[in-house]
Amino acid sequence: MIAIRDLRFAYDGTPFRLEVPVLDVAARSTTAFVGPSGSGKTTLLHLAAGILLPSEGRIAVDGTEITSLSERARRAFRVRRVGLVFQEFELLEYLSILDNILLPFRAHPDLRLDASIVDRARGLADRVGIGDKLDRRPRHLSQGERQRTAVCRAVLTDPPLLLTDEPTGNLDPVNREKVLDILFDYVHDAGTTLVAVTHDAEILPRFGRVVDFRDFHARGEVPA
Amino acid sequence: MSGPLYLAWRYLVFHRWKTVVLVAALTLILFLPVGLRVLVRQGAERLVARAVATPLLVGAPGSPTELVLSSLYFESDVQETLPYSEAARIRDTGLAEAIPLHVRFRVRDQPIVGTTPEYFAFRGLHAVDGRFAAVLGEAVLGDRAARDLGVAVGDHVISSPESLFDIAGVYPLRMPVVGVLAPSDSPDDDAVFVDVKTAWVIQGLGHGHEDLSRPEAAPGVLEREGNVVIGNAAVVQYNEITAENIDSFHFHGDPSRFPLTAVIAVPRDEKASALLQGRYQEVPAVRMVRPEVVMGDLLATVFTVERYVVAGAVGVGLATLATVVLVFLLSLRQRARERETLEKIGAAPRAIRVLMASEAMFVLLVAGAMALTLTWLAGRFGPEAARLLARL
Repeated sequence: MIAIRDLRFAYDGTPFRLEVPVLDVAARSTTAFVGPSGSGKTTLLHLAAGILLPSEGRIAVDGTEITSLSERARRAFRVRRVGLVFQEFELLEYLSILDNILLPFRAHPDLRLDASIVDRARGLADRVGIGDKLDRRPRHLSQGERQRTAVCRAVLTDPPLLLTDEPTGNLDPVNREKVLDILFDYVHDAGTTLVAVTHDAEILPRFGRVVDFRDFHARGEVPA
Repeated sequence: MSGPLYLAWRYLVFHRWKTVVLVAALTLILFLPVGLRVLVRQGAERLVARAVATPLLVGAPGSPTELVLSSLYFESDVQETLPYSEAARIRDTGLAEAIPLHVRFRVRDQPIVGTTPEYFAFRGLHAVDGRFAAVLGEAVLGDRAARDLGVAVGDHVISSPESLFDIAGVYPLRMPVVGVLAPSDSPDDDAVFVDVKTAWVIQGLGHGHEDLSRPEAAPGVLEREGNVVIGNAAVVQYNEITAENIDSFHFHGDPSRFPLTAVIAVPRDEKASALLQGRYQEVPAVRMVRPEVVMGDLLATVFTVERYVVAGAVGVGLATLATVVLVFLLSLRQRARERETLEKIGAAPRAIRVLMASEAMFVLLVAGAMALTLTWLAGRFGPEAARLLARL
């Protein structure tokens, strides 16, 4: 699903450098990226999503070499082929939970929002236990419910690749297990590839593979 | 609604109070200088139009502005009067028509204008209901006066005493309303018109009372000396002129010396006007003014003040505008995280720009539309509103 070769990346104006000679992530696998803070886990996630571009090297996702795509094509690729779940949920406070889940369809002109998509959003929300809270604002939901909303938003386009950044970082143990169950159930049912950045050693046994970023060459501090 | 516009709309609805405050602030910034100018210019046009339509005005020496405001707009009190004979003197020159004016009393807030039938012809006024006053004691009301007083033809109006505590002062006179004028969009709409003699009756220069020669009036007789009968305070005086008592009304003194507040002189032509003005330059006891010139001087002062006020409004507007811009910039900064999220999930930069700019665009468009509407309303209903405010 993900094939990285001779990747080098640096943030402009900072000493941070990331080098990944070879990394392959198999389709339909579950992979955890671990390593100390500043080792480039989130950076690699953003590179794999096409949000960042490497200085050198190649990244192919689902057979498409995203490093050779235009910015517009990368955006179109990301919105259709990659689902993203962020540590801070990144929900928009002025939208209802339903509108937050539908956000990719509101934000991208290539995605067409129709009744079937709204039904799918409602179905996903029911599945993760927030179906009765679709009219509420994010601030009226618990941390776990907000993360579940973010998961629904990420998988609404049915992406073959799901990238999650500290998906359980802000959750208590009960909610952590609930969110992981939802993620893994979805990945299993939909045949999706899951890559998660995490510091939480307790959840590592649930992943098929763990990639330790200490094996890669990273220097400097990742800018905030 | 397209995606970015829908998101923009949700943002504005969520932050509705901030949006309302910004729209209100910008509306005022845009409206105040323009609206103020529209109101002042429109008011000035109306004032000048009436002044231009009144060729010459004769009054007692004093403030020409007060004379014009009192005689044309019924807005000010003239302290000094001139005798009724002045109207005859103008007429006798053969150069102009003379229309006497007596503007001193009121029916509640409405001025009582004592004049002659020539005034109605001169101002182009006609009765929409009833007729003009034909008999002493009758009143004809301007359109707004009738509405404000809540009276119609057949009802009565009562002149207001000048001072409730002056028992020797002017007594109220009850007057039947015999006509209501068509609206003229002028100060005449607010006036209660009576014959100039009726105004003198209100002033106490003429009165009617029971016939002291009749036996039933005996308690009111203080003294009899031949044909001269002196009444006492028990004499019943009439406070309404009716068909039954009109014959008892009489004036004490020489009517040619009775007071007028002004005389409108309507010259035959330009030459007659110039001649008349020349003659009146040599009459120190009275003053002849051209209302157009007096109002021009007054409005020059008003326009100077207006310029200062508009300059002040523009200054305050610029300061407010700077604050509004700051609010927009802070809002953009606050939304940096949102922008980042949208970028990450694949939103097009154009969509993000539309979303971010929508708040400012919406506020500007709505404020612009509201300022335009307010300016139009000020132009359409400004004078009416100003009149209502003045009454408050």
